[in-house]
Amino acid sequence: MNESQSPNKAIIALIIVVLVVAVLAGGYYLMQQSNEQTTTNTVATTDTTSTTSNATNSDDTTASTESEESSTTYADGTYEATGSYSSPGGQEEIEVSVTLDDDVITDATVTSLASNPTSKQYQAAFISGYKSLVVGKSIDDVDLDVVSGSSLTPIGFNNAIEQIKQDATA
Amino acid sequence: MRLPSSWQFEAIGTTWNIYTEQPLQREQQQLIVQHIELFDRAFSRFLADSIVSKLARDGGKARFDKRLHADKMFAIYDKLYHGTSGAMTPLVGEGLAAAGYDETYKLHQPTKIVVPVALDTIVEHDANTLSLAEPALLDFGAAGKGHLVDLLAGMLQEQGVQFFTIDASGDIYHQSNEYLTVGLENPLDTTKVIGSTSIRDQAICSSATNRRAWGNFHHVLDGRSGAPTNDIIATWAIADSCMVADALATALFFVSPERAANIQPGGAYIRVTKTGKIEMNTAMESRVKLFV
Repeated sequence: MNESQSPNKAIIALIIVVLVVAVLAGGYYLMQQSNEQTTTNTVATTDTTSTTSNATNSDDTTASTESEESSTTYADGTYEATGSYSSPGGQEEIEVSVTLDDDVITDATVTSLASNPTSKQYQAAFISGYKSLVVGKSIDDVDLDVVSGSSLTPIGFNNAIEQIKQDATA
Repeated sequence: MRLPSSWQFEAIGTTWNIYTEQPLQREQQQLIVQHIELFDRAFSRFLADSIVSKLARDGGKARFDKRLHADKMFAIYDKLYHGTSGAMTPLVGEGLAAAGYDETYKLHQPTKIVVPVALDTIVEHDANTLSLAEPALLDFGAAGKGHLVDLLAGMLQEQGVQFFTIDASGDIYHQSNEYLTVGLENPLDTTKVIGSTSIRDQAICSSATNRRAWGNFHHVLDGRSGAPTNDIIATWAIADSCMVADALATALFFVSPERAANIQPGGAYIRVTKTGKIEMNTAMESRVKLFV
């Protein structure tokens, strides 16, 4: 069980890096734009920007913009960014492109730029799996009568799951 | 559109809501509760003195109350057992119990993987009786809840309740003159929906592996290997009856929506793979709105 958790942690860290990079790069580009309404035809592709995995230096690239005329936080369009990170085998890069429509990521593509074989493997695993992590609309944003998903679990089951989690971190 | 009066209660291990125009009377609710108990005493593997538990201890022959319409359950399990080449089988009970998924909820990684035997080597049935050639723990989780929804829907219809929605925690039957808009929950982020659809005088059921999962194990077992399935993370099926929708939602872990439509025509089927790919049959394409 522990063996399978370290690659998962690495992948999750990678996912967070990539999404942070994409969002920050997109937000940075947005701040550079003049305060105008963009149409859905605008493709706001940036030049590929490189940021380090500790992207805390960007104090001008907050995720929320100042109030604009538009009702979305982000202008519709496609944003690209290349993130670089330090792997045990050296510096690696990964390229992310996300398409925003109405503040929802409607499409995303990731291109591996890894050189080290292990990094290639991790990036490939991420690429084959990430799409399921970035999809859908918030329930609050859709006019629904009910939601259909797996059945809610009873309290006894929930307690058992809680116990397992506690045992795992003990 | 959701009907204004709702009655929420716990039954067969999950939370139910029944929506009606007017609140149900106490007598109506009592009849429903009694029918649920009748169902539980027959099909539950979590009750020590249920028919299923007795068959698990002793094998032999059991007779089911006619009001349970057990023949329908048996028929859909037979059909999908063969349609999924044995992947979907009620004989996964032992495998689930071996992982602690029984009345004790002592969930753990199973000490052994139990490969179910072929269904017809030990099970025989006619309309209302079931015979086991040897003791075996049957699990009717795949279609049982949907069947119970149908039974309760029949009860409400008999009582003259014209419009109602029975939501057995994601397995839904809606009878009305207006459509019910149903969101398809993202199993990886339950604050989101991957799409929506609408139903009227039909049922929609979902199956997913996100909630009943612990460690590397989850509750949807492949009857051919005894192990949890690996590649599908969520399914939905729309059908005229909730039992069929429920059964097909499980079958979709093992067969594609197109194949499901061959086995059980007339339904709309959709499923999500673990890489986020969406698959559906033609009938679903025309009635689902995807947000991914």
